[in-house]
Amino acid sequence: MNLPIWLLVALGGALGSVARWFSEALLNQVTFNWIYSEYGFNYSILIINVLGSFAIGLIAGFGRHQVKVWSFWATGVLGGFTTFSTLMLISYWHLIDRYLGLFVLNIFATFFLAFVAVTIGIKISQTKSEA
Amino acid sequence: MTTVLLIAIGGALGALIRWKLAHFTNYEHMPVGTLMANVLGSFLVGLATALYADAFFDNQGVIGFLYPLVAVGLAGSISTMSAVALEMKNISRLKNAGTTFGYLAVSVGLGILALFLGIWLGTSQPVSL
Repeated sequence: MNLPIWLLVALGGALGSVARWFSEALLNQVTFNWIYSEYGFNYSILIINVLGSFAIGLIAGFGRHQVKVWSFWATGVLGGFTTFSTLMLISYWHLIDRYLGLFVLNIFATFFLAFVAVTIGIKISQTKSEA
Repeated sequence: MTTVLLIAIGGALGALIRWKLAHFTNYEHMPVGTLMANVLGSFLVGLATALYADAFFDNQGVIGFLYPLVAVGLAGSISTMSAVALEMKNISRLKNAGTTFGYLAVSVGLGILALFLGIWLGTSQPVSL
């Protein structure tokens, strides 16, 4: 297929965002933690962001230099799938509800696990590339 | 179905905006484009939550449609965590842990501020903590 880059980014973003919506709904049922709930901690967005970070690590090893692969999968799909704004919205509710511990824990857990996930993703893709 | 379509449209637009921002402003060791995208996304989700969230969850017609379009699709897609994780990895490799943490702190700090601004503008009155 010979699609322009901007279209690949847009299609990927649409797919990734819809995938996030469905994943969040599904994970919310499994983990019982809608952001307005008194449980306060939202695993769904955490899992989505960590999975997306792992995947971008894989692509960074395999497809970094292929502009079309990168534009569709990394910029489009994974960029749309993972989200920072919802993390901020959850953090906002934590602050409003005065869950300062959860506020700090959620942010550090997300960044730490995303960092670990991307590291593992890169490691795997590099090992496979060398083989 | 309408909701899914709105999210897809918002998601496509959001990805394009983030892509353009990164295109114009990302420096080798300073992901300013992603930072701007995340701050913008946080602002939009705050604004949309203040303006449209109740209408969406109470199923109130046309105004309710704006929540999946703007908050879930547009804001969710403009902002990103996967790129942040990759950039943190690069910064930690090329610079040091302090700079990596600085990127985290600036992202979260500006993101929260932008979201409060969005909520504030959406409700037209100061948010009381």
